[in-house]
Formats: sequence, C-alpha cells, structure tokens
Amino acid sequence: MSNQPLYHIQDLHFRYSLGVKQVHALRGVTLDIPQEGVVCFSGPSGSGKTTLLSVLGLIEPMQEGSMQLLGEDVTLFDEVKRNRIRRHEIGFVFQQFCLMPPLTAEENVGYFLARQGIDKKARYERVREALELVGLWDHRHKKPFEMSGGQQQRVAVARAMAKRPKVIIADEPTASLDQDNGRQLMALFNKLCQDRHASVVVASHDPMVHSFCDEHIEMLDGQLVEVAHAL
Amino acid sequence: MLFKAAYRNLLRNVRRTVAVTVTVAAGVGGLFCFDGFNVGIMNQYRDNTIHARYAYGQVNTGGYLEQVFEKPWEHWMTDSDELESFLLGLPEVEQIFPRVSFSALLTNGRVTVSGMGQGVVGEEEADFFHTLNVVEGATLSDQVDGILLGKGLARALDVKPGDTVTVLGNTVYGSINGLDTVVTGIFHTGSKEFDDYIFRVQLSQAKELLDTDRVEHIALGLASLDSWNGVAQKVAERFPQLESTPFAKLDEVYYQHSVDWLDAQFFYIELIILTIVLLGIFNTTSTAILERRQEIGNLRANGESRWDVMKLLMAEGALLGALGAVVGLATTFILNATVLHDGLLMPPAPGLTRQFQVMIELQSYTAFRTFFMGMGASLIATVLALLRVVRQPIGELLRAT
Repeated sequence: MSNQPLYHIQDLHFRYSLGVKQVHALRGVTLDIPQEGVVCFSGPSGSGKTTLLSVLGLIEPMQEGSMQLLGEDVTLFDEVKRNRIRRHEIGFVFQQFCLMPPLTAEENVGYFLARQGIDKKARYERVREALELVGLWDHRHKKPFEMSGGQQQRVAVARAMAKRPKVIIADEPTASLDQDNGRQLMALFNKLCQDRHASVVVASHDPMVHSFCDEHIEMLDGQLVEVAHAL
Repeated sequence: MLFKAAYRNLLRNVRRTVAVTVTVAAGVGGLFCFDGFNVGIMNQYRDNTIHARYAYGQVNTGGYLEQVFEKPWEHWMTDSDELESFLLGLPEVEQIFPRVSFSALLTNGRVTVSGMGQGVVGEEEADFFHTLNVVEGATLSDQVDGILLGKGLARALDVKPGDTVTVLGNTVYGSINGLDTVVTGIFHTGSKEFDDYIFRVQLSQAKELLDTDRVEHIALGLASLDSWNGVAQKVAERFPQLESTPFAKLDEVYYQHSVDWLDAQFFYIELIILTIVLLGIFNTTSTAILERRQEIGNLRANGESRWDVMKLLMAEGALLGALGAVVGLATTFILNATVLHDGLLMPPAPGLTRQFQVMIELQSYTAFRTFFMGMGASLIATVLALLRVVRQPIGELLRAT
C-alpha cells in the first residue's frame, strides 16, 4: 500500500439551499484521510460532519474546491463511475440504518453483494463472516422489525463490511448501541482497518468513539478546528 | 435478488397491495366482462340476422344489388338449376334457398295493403330460419297455397291463420295476376319495419304469379361462418357473371354498423377504464414511493443507478399489475359461470321490438389483452410516480423523513 492518501481534500466548500436561504455547510475544508485507520469527526449539530461524510461518500456532488480519491479527481467522475465506486469501494452505515424492511438480516447484508455480481457461495461466506463479526449470525433470519435498534445498527455495519470496501463511512454508528456494544463495534472497526488495510470515517458525538480513533477531528461551523492524532 | 425483494415488498404493506390489486382487478375484470358482453350481443345479433332473414349470404347476378332496375326480374338468374347443383355439390354448403321478391297488394276482400313478397321454398327454409318467430299458426313449410305474414301486415289485414288472403301482382310481362292463399302463420322478427311489410309464399307460387322461371338470388346455409370466403371464391371461379354477398354486407346498415359502433365504443370505454385504473394506482403508488425515499436513497448510496432503482420498483409494479389482472380475470370467469350463467336480459335493441337474453361470451384473446393492459397500467403508474423521486439527489433522499 502506497503512502498516497485515500482522500486528498483542498478548500472544500458546500452549500445547501433551505428554501430561499443558503446554508454554508462546509467552509474551506482541507485535509488528507489515510488509506488505513479510523478517522472521527466530532462537533455540535450543524457543524458539517454529516455533509462532509456525504461528500466523501460521493453522495453529494462537489461544488467548490477539490477532492482526490486515491489520486483521482472526483470532479471528473461521471455518474456511472460514481455509482461503481459507491457500489464496490465505499460502505455506508447510516444513522437511520436504512435496512430493507422486507429482507432478512442475511438478505440485507447479501443484497449489495449480489448487485456486485458475487456468486452465491462466496456471498454466503461473506455474509456469514460479517454477521458473525457483529454477533448476529444466529439472528440472520430475522427481519429488521423483529430486531432492536442496536441489532439493526449492527446489521447495517455488517452490510457495509461485507462489501469489503476501501472505506466505511459511518454516521453516528454507536448512537443506537449501549456502551459495551459501542466499544465492540469500534474495536471491530480498528481490527478491520488493520486486517483489510481499510479506512473508516466516522462522525460521532460519543467521547468513547474518539478513544478508538487514529485521528480525531473537531468541526465547528463547517470548518476543522482541531486535529488530534492517537498516540 | 431483485425479484425476491420486489415480491417481498408486496407483502410489506398489505393494505396498499390489496388497494392496487383491487383497482387493477376491477379494471381488467370490467374490460374483460364488457368485451364478452359485446361479443355476446354481436353473436346473437349475427345469429338472428342469419337465421331470420339472410342465411350466411346470397348469390345473385353481378351488380344486381348496387343498382335499382325498372324491371329487376330481367336481371335475375337464368338456368338456376346448374348453379343449385353446383352449390349443393360443395362440401361447405348444407342448404340452399332460392328466392324471388316482388311487390304486391294483399287483400282480404275488405282491406287492401301493399307488401313485399318473398317466394321461398317453404320446406327448406322452415328449419333453417328458426329465429323467425311464428307468433300465431305455423311457419310456411309444405302448404302449397300457404302464406306467412309479418305481424304488422297481418294486423293491417286483420287476418289470422286459416283466413284467405289474395295476393295481386304483375307478371314480368306487365299483366295483372293473382294468387289465392291461406294464412299459415304470422311471424315477427323483432324488426318492426320488416314485420310491417314482408310476407312469404311458396317459390313455385311466386314464380306462377310473376310468370317467370328465373330466381332472384340463392341464399346459402353453410356448415360454418368461416366457410363463406371459400364458397364465394368457388362460385366466382365457376360463375364469373354472378356475385356472392355475405350477410354482414346484406345487413350492413344494422349488423355491420352495430359491430363497428360497438367496437368504437369499446375502444373509448377501454381508454376511460384504463385511465381510471392508472390514476388510482398512481395515487397509491406515489404515496408508497414517497414513504420509501430513504430506502431509495440507501440503494442509490450503495451504487444502484437510477435505472437499477426503477427496475426494482417497476418489478413491484408489474407483479402487482399481474396479480390484479389475474384476480380480475378469475373473478370474471367465476361470475360468468355463476350469477351470469344465464346471461343478461336486455331491453329491445334499436329497430327491434322484443327483449333478448345476452350471454357474456368471454374471449381468450381479450383475456390476454386485458391482462397485459392491467400490468402495463400498473407499470406506467409506477414509473410516473417514481420519476420525480428517482431524480432527487441522494443526499436529499436520505434526509427525507
């Protein structure tokens, strides 16, 4: 693995329209995110954490500034390439879980693997591995409404991990978990980074989460105000 | 996985699935039943036309029907024996009915009315023309001097079966001639115009009255309606001076125009029903899709293209449409086999004077057509509902509550 950063961001700005009002959500963000390790963004609500995660996940379009993903300028990506990268290289854990209600835990984790074109046998192995890692293999036949919020969050994490992406983007991944499960999840993210040489980008208010991060970045009003590296 | 997810989504909101299924089923079932009703009406009308007046068609001298002649008998067919032998030799032809028609005066000694006479071979026609309703007495069969009167004509003459009626007419040479006949029966076809004007006597009697051995036309009784074109072609090859005209053309004003009119009506009703179905499904589907924006956002975030998302939801729409269509068709079949088994009693149609029973004659072709229409309407409604949502940015979809 080269020393090239996973993301190289310079002077990133992002604005939302809220009716006639413009919200300046990101104001000149400049940073590098390494290919391996857990990076955490924290800050009060409205500080721009989720927006930054959306831009990193290629969910929101680039408006101003530049961003390179493994040396490639993302502004040059067309729709097809953005879809392909999101499908293969990025795993998402959303605050609201976003599981597919009619599918079981096993099917939810396997759905995007099937869409990647992975064959049934390999898919089964990956799903099993991911659900075992989050401790939910025994619950694989349950549908989301049959599981607690914490279990649903772990299924969402398993779904992101099963894709074996280069980066997992997780918005408040421990919000629905108790402290023990939260710690286990963050430890899992650490292990994933080491074993798979992947990166995990987290947005979280939870101080416990910060202790598991290789890099902790404080945000305020769309700007990075403090960067702390793990010792 | 796509279809599994689509299928499971149908079970996710049972009330919505039932609402869409019922909407499609009502539309498809309604169209299917309505088409069967139209076919029933037209088939009955067709059978009535064939077995009351025209048979399957007739053979006459070429161009005879298109023109009005001062002396029509000069254009009647000579040597009809050869034609009759030929026609009876064709396997498709079961019966032939040579006829002449003429105008005449009918009198009972007190009242004289004009009418249009038909000279027919009573014995041959009695069985075939069974929808000619004889309301009094008996049909004209082997009674040599018998006369069968239309209901209106009989009322005008104030006669009943067994009474004597004198038929006065001109021979083809212009001299006056007369026939003494005995009323065998009174008929009505349901067509007032026909019943007020028409009477029938034996062909031999009519020929004697007119003093001719020619035949105006020969009506044909066939094994089936499908045989008509083949018979017409064979006649044209053997007797190029003659022409064959199917019953639909002979009764163009009523039969063919009714068929065309009902077809056009069916087309517009089909459009109206499909529009109602489409709007009904669109309303339900739009709500469901708006509720699923976050889920769609998740799919898009994980690399599904707009088209991938559309495929998933279209598969749901198609499945719902297919389910609704099957329910609609099955319900119509069941209703037709039970409560509609004896058909529907209809009031007299235009130009007719009696009620009639219409059977719902369901057509397999229409079943297929309405099935795909139901599925298509559901699919279109889904796409219309989806277009607005699928264009939204992913971030916006994920933020939707």
